[in-house]
Amino acid sequence: MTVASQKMSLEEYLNFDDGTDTRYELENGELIVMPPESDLNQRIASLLFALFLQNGIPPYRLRIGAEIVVNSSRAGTRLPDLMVLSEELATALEGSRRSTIMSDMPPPLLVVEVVSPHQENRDYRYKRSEYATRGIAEYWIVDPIQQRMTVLEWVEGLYEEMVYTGDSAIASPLLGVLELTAERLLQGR
Amino acid sequence: MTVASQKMSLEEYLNFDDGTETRYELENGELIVMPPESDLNQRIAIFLLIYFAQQGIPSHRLRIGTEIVVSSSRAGSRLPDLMVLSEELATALEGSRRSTIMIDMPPPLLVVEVVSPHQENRDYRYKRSEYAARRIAEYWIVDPIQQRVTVLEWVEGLYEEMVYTGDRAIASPLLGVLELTAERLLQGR
Repeated sequence: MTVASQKMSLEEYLNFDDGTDTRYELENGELIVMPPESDLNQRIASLLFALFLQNGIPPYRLRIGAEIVVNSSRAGTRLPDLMVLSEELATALEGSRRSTIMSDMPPPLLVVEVVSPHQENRDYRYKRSEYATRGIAEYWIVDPIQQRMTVLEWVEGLYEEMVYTGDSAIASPLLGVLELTAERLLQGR
Repeated sequence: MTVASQKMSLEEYLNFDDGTETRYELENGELIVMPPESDLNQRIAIFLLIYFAQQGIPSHRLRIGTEIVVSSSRAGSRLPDLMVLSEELATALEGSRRSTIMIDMPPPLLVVEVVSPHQENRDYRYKRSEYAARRIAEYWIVDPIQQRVTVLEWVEGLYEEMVYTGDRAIASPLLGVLELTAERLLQGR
C-alpha cells in the first residue's frame, strides 16, 4: 500500500516518524506499509534463525527486523525477514541508533525473504535486481504459497538460481548442504 | 583496469580530474579505466544512433558519452555506448555542466552496450542487475564477439530476455519490430 505520492529522499525517510509502530519499506522513493506477517511466515523465519545458530553462526550476526538501504531508481530501503551478517558488517552496525545497513557498509552475506500473498513480484523480481546490485552473495526466497524455495547465488554481478521443492535437501553456498528439506522449511517445523 | 584501490565516493568521483582525457566508470567505489573502443564497436554505436534518429527519435533525446549513476554495493557510474532519453529526462539534463544522469533523475528509456573483449561479465551480469535496479525499461547488449543481440525488457523489477542472431529482425518494446536484423547491426552497416 502506498501512503505518500510525494517522492521521499532517503534522508527524509530515515527521519520520518508517524508516531505509530507501523513498519515501512521505501520503494523507489515511495513509502510502503509492511502488512503484519502471517503466523506461518513468522514460524519459517524463526526456524531459519534456529537453524543458522545450529550451523555455527553467532547470534550477533543474525538479524530479524533490520533494514537495508538499496537503490532502485530513487531511494529505497528493504526490510528482509532475516539476514546473516559478516563479522565486518556486524562491527559496522554495532552501536547504531537505528538498525539500518547503509549503502557505505558491506553487504550482508545472506538475505531471506518469506513470500506473502500478493508480494510475489516484490520478492522474485524487484528485490532480486536490488539485492544483486547491492552485492549480496546469497538470497533465499521461501515461498509457502507456491511450495518452493529458491536459492540465488551471486556470481559476477547476477544471480544464478536453484529451486528446491518436496524432500530435496537445501544446499547453500554459505552453509553447505543442510539437513533441511524444502518441505520441512515451508511448514516451518 | 583498476587504478585506485581506495574506495571513492560518488562525490569524490564527480569532482575527480586527473588532467587527462581518460574516461572512467566507477564500479563499486573503484575507478575503472575505459579502454578505447574498437572501430567496429564505434561503428555499431553510430549506426544505431542514426537508425534511432531515422525511427523518429529527436536528437535531443539521444546520447553517446553520457554517464549514468547506478548503485552497486558502493557508488557506481556507468558510461553506456548509447542511450535514448525520455522527454522528462532530456529536460532534467538540460544545461547540466556534466552530462551525468543522477540518481534523482528519471531513468533513460533504452540503454545500449556494445560488448568489448573481456568485458562480457560487466555487460551481461553486473550491468544487467544495475540497470534493472535503476528501472531502465529496455537494455540492449550488442555482442559482435558472440554474434548475437540480446534485448532485455524490464518487467516488474527484473529483465526478460530475447536473443537475436542471424537474419532475425529485432523487436524492441520501445520501437516495435524493426527493419533491422541482428546480422546487419552486428556489422554496423
